[in-house]
Amino acid sequence: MFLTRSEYDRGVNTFSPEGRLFQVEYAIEAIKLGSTAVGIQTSHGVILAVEKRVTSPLLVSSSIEKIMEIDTHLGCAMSGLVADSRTMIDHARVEAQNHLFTYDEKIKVESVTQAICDLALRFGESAHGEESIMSRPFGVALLVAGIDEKGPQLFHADPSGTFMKYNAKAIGSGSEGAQTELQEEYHKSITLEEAETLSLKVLKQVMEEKLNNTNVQLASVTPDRGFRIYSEEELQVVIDRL
Amino acid sequence: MLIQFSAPTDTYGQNFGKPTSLHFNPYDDNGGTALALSGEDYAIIASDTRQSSVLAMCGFSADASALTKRITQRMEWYKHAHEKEMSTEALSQLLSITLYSKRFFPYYTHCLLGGLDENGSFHAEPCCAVGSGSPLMQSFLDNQNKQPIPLEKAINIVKDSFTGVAERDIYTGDGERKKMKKLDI
Repeated sequence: MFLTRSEYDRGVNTFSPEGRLFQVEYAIEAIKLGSTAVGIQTSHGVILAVEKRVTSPLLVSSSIEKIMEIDTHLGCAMSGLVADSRTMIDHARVEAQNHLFTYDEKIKVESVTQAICDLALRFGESAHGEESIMSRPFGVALLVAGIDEKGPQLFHADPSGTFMKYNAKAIGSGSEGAQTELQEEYHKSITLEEAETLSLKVLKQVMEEKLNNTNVQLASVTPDRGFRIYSEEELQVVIDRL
Repeated sequence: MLIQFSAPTDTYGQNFGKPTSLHFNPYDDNGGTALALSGEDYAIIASDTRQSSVLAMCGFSADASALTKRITQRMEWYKHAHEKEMSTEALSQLLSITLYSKRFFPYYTHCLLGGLDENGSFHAEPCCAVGSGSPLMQSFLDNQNKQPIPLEKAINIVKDSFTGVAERDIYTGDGERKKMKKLDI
């Protein structure tokens, strides 16, 4: 695609004659440089797992945050330009709290993903009255996991503002290999425990470094405990099962 | 809407004809009474014909229609955004914050919300009356407090309440309108 680069890849709101928005396509490319993130939906809850690139032994690994809470029943894993995701997560959190305040009920997973995607498209020059906060597309993809009246769900949102529901999804640099592995291993009756192991097994295969309890992050959303990030000790228990 | 001129009189009871105070009153009370009752498998909401429906309102009728319009629109938006109907709980919260958002220029309405959803009969109150006839009606309802009331009896109570109150309260009358929601078991 880089061979076809032309004048049309400069303006963020300009279509090329073939009908492509290059800046959006480049943003999707940016995600393929990011660390791998995996999400698996089961009937008992959703698992999120991400690889943390600890580039130096002096780096404090706990300071790398790639899984974040949106609400008590909603979590999010990311890959790409993590700094960009802060704006999106902030927006999602406000949207979730606003819904709780207005309707006294928890927001649906699909609705919060829709809200994130509405923001993803608000780049470039602003249209009448609508405030634009980004001059370029967001360079981050999100895996939104949560539980609502429809049960545990997993959504993937990308910089083009498209979102889709998945049973299992991998994003980031190792996503191709990881997605193939997920396709082979995933089945409808997978338990939460099996999903924990599968997510780390998949990460282990695509990671350059040896997987340990400081270079991955694991989180779950379950009906009784809501969203929570695993501690290093809990993580070690899962690693020992591999 | 009324603009009242009050013209005070002098010590000899003579009117100077000059307005000494200008009082703007944006409200009017169009009266009316509404009643809601719920049992194990039903919820009845009733009002005299001076008000609107399942969300029964009394008081200033212009405010009531404005509020109805606003709430109905929010319900429609909600349906498109979340692909489901609003539950009665959600509606009650929406009504509550909508009313509070007008805290310093309130909708002069007394609201009664009744409905059923997948959680069964929703009630903050098992029975309640609002509006001009409410002091008469609520005390009558409280006297019938054998909960849960069977549906047949509840309908009779609603009828009796309105015939009784229409006799005594001059702001309640004309006719009666009931909305009933029943669970299909």
